[in-house]
Amino acid sequence: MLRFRYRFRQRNLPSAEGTGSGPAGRISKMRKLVTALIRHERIEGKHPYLDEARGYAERLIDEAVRNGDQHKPTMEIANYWLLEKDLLHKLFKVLVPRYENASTSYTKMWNLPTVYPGGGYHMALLELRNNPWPDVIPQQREVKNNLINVLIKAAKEDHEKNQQLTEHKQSEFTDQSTDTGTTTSQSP
Amino acid sequence: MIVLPLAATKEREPYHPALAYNVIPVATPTHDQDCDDKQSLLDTIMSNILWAAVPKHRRSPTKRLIRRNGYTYVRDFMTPKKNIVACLECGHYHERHTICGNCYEKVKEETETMREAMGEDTRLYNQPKSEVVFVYENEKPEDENKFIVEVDKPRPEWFSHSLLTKAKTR
Ligand SMILES: [Zn+2]
Repeated sequence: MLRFRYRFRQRNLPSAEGTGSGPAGRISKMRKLVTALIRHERIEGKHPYLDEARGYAERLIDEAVRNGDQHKPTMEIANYWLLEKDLLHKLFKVLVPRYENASTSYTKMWNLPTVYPGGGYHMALLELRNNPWPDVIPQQREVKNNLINVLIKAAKEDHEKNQQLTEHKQSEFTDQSTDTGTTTSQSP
Repeated sequence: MIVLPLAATKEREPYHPALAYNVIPVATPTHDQDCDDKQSLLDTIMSNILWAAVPKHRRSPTKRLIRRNGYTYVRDFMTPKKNIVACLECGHYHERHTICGNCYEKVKEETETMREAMGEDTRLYNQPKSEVVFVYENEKPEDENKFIVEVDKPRPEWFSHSLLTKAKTR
């Protein structure tokens, strides 16, 4: 299952490896990109190419996570897509435990700033989630004093206060009921 | 003696008898009715032409000139960009859909030093078979089972996985 927004139709990328390289060139390029992504965990490149390679990488990791390394077809797929064979171990021993309980996509994509005067390709950054490198957006901004957060905090406190009050009342009520219950049970 | 052509000699075929109706059919148009429905010649010609493609809106000078001279990428540079925002961390400008270039450069530099600390052999030929953990100066690794890479410098302040509280968990 792909957990990100992907294009309904694939890009043909007719000149992925030089003019006229065709479908074979496209697949060859995709394999190289997927291999690079698994090795370096963060790669830069042209946006359409990376976006195209992202789906293959996600699918590969997904197959590995679902079936494990004892499944023969999965191993064949991994063997096909990973051109450098030390990455097979990485896929099954590092990435599978990392993404076993993942509820999001395994990869993340960012748009790189345009280089002026522009007119070239849109460049992008593709990375695996939870990689060891520093975060792309480094700081987590302090949002405690944001107006909305202040209001939410106050509302939360109010809610808790109300809940305590109601609990107190309920406990009084239940005490009475239990008293009567005990009396009735004891009477016969 | 006059020799007649073959066709002429052939006996004239009699006309086929017309279809006989018991009743006069009502629907068949008579000559008079046809004359009443007949449109004027101008109408028959003009009615089709009036539906042909005609300009609905006026073309603005910009559109007209682009149409005549062709679209150039120069126009891209000429038109002012309206999607430029200031970075909340450092104040540098970047387009809204991209990440901040100034902040990213810092990350890139740090990543490069980390990659160097990892070593070329580990990085390019023998990837470690467990998670990689980078240990900076004055730090202790949490898990010994992981692949530990030591970096000979203090951890930069902006790079922290667990020090700052996240907005979600607060
Ligand atoms: Zn910035």
